[in-house]
Parts: sequence; C-alpha cells; structure tokens
Amino acid sequence: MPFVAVSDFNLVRAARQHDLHAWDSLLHRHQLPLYSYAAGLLHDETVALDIVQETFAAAVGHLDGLRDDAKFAPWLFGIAHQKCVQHWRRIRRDADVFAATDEPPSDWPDNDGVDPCAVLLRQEQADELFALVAQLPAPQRSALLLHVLEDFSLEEIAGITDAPLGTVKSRLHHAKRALRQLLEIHR
Amino acid sequence: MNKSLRELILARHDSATPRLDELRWAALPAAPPTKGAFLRELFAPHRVAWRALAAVWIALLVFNLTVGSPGRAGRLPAPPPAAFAAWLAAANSHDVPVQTDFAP
Repeated sequence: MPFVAVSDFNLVRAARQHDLHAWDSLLHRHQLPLYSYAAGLLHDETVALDIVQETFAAAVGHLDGLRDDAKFAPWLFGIAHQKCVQHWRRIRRDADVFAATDEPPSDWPDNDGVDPCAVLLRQEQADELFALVAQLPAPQRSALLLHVLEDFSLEEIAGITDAPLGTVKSRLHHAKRALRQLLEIHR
Repeated sequence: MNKSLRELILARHDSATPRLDELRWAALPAAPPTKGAFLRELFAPHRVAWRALAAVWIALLVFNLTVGSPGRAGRLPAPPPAAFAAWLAAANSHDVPVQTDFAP
C-alpha cells in the first residue's frame, strides 16, 4: 500500500474523537519546525523546549478553540508565538518587541529578484546565513521563519503574529532582501 | 549537497528531536477509559481489602454448604388434620375469638 500523507484536517478530526495516534502524528509533524521557530526567535534552546512543551499542552487542552480544522498549523504556531511574546515580556518588561512603530505597511510586490527561501544553499553558507537571520529584528525574523518553515501565507503570518497584513509584507520584504544581498555576495 | 533554507534550519535543530519526542509523548491526552481500565481503577488501589472481602465471602459460602440451611429440614412438621380440628373445637368451646369465616 503506498504511503499517503494524511492531512492535518483529517488528523484534527480524529484527534477531536480522542484518537491518540492522530494526536501523536499531528504533534510529531510540527514539533521540529515549532522548536526551530521558537529557538530561532528567542536564541535560547532551553526556553524553546519549554515553549514547545507549553504549546503542546495548550493545544491538547484547548483543541475546542480551533475553529477551522484545516488551520491547525497556524493555530499551533499562533500559540507558540504568543508564548514567545509572553517570555519576552517577562524578561524585558519595558520592551514590546513586536511593536510595529517603525514599520509602515508596505504594498511592495516581492518580485525584485529570486526568492532566497527557494534557493538551494551550500552547507558552507549555512553558518553565515544563520548569523544573518539571527541579526534580523525579531519581527522580521519571525515573519521569515514562519514563511520558510511552514510556508505560511502572508495572511496566516499576520494571524499568527497578530499584525496587520501590510506590516507582515514589509517585514518579509526586508528579511528577504537581506538574505538576497548575502546570497549575491557569495555568488 | 545543496539544501533549501528550510532544510538547513531543520537540520540545525535536529539534535533536539529525542527531547521533542519526550515532550510530545508527555503531552498526549489520556486515553478514554475502557472497561478494563475502569475495573483496574476500581480494584487496584485497594487490592488487599478486596482480597480479604473475597476470602470472607468464600468462607461464608463453605460454611453455608457444610452446615446446611435451616430451611425445610429445620421446620416443624405440619400438624395432622385431626389434631388441628381438635384444637379448633377446643378453641370454640372456650369462646376464644377465632375467626373462621373470611367474608370477602
């Protein structure tokens, strides 16, 4: 029998009926991207594990809060994102990392060159790439990671980060432009 | 070998997979209770008490079978009809109010 990937939609349906295998599959398929997102955003792998643990617990305990079964991944990452923001607020009470004060909404089409997220990279480029991503402002890093890791749409990223669509466009545009410049240096 | 940005990021964090597996297993919801689980939940916490109670029940059963019930064997035999008639006559002669007619 050929392997057929079961969609999140079907797994969520089964999970609502207390199907443990469905839960396991759902969490397993998203656990590494989720952890990568939290670790990339917070620069702290221990805290990232805590975020994943709390996100899993919240997802299992509050599945009733998910309105659209096909939107499990954005919902899950939305929980994780909120927990990252809460963590920031705990350690930096005076800073709102995701304040969009210096990011006017953008209508720029993102067609000014190749998509750096789609380019195949050499292993030697990886370290420089990670260093660049780590230097991006948190909102840009967040948008880029969500776009790269789970291929979320702009609307989904806006929902996850609770930001206006134009702001998300702007953040992703800046992040991609920085990546593109790095790739051109290495060309 | 060239990789996409996604593959590079995931590969960088792949070493966390065993820990993530543990977190996932710990987070899985409890299975809905089955009949077997219900019985285990009922008996397991007080196993000694249930064993003692079962022993008492078995002892009572054995005792009951050995001694025999005081049912029919222990009951007095019914008086013969002649004796009953004599008792009824004596009762009537002493004006003992014995109700013999049961009008509906």
